[in-house]
Amino acid sequence: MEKSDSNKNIIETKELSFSYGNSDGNEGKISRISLTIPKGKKTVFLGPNGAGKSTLFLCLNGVNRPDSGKLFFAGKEVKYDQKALSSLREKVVLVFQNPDDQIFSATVEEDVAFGPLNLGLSRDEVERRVDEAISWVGIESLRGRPTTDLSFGQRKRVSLAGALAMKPEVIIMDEPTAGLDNEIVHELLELSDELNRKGLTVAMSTHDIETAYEWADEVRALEKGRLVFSGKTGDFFSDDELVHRLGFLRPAPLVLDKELELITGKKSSPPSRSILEFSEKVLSHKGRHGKITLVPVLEDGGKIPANHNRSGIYGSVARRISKKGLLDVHYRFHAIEKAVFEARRGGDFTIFSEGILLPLIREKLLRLCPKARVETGR
Amino acid sequence: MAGTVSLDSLAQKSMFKGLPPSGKFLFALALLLGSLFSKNLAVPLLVFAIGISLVFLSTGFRFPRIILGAYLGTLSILLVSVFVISLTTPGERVAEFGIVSFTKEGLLLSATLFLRALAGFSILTFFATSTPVPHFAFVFREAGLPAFVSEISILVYRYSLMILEELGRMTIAAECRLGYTGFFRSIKTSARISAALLSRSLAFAERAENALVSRNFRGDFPSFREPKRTGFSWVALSILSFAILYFLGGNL
Repeated sequence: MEKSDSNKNIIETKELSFSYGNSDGNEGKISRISLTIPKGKKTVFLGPNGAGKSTLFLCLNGVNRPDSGKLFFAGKEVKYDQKALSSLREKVVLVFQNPDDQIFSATVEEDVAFGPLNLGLSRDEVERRVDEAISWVGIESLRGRPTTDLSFGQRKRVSLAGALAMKPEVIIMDEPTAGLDNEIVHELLELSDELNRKGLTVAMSTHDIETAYEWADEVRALEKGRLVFSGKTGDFFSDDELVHRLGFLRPAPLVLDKELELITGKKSSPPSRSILEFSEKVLSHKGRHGKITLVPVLEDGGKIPANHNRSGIYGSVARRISKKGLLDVHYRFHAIEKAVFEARRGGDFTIFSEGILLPLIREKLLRLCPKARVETGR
Repeated sequence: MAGTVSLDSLAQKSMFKGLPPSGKFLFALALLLGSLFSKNLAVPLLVFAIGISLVFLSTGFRFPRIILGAYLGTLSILLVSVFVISLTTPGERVAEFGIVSFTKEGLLLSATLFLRALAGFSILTFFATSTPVPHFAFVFREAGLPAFVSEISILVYRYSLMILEELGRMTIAAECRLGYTGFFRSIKTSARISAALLSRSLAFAERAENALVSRNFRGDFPSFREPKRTGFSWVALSILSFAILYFLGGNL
């Protein structure tokens, strides 16, 4: 049996081809795709509608058995027997584009428990996983509700919880941000960052170029069922011709960087990943930057220090504590960006988050605002 | 569309949801049979009173519009039926209005039928508003029916709800584009929607199957919160209820 480099790549395909029996042309077909999904990274799949992204995702989870080619998970070739498929589907989970395709049970908790029950886990373990997944996505209040009563955003959260309850190593989301409001999109991206920081490999497809550019470490681009790009996010978006051919616009921060280069004659380095990052390059802020304090919070709430600054939360634990009313903050989402705005104006800001996420927040803050004074409080 | 969805939502929120579904079924059956075997009108009236009280309790004293609509629909059909029966049953004449006359036997028969039907309907609405559809699958399993029966019932339940939701969306979309102005246009629009619904339901079935398989579905729907099993107390309660009604009905 063939092996691949499992230390680096959690998923790998070699010359993978699949077509639905009735498909004409390139719709729903993938051809000789050889790609890798690096372990512990965030990978975005880009491509126009009908490029084969969803078909490929179904192959990566073993639902579509390829016509030819090989699929590797953690370095081992996937055998398509029942045992191997069960194991693959436990470790690589899909979140479908339309939550109604995925949600199958009458109540929220029944649906979240569906996958773990299919794994034959003990009732206690299923109970634990359901609790955990439900609190990850913040749907505790929906737990016993009929799934037919939920809004689209709530159904999206339920479908995500259903996937997380499998305790996967890789989560693949098919256009997770489509049709959601700003707050839920931010929460979802924050959650994917959090899960990634805790060791999960995250992949998603999206048509939202700005999100893809800011969020992803790696890009895989598909066109007419073929892989046309595999590499770093910055490299993909630097290829003007390919980006245009795939029907995308270049992300605004990159366009602004180019404009700045033309005006100043200097290379804009590092490339801006967001408008906020770009603005740091061109706007001069007089005076001293404010202080941003990162305060760790505990799952049970613990002792939360009094705070007189403007404040926000980051991550699922802080969000949970805030929902319980133990943490009163000004911003429930977008806290990092708000902190940067405040610091630039010379004001102080406090971000509450789980301890394990503080280095991630610090990295993001310093990338957005290198002059920010970031401290860790107690 | 909203009917099925709302009814199931009512059942999900019912205070009787936690009771064993098979127990509720046995109890409802006992009341129905008690009403049916009775020789007087008091028993169906009593069963109706029990049934309607249980419906009120089950829906949290709200008596939703969907239930009210069902009652009004049933009542209108029943009233027409009993009127016809009371007119056409031969026997001793008690009232005459020109060529129309009512007989004692006719009035008694129509009153019996009316009350029995109403009692039965109230008991059935109690059962429907307190038992979510997936609990039926559990009843099938508890009754020892093969796994595929409960699997099919859950699939039918889920697909029906999705198709009904889709039908609702398509109807609104058609209405927005004047698809229901005039009789013939309405027929044409309904036909087009039916055809589109068929193809969409097939596409949905395919996507839903992929979603199920991706979560390790192997042809069995495990239940996370199983409803309570029927104990001896429910069997005893059902038998006792039937016996009391049978006695009150003048059979002993």
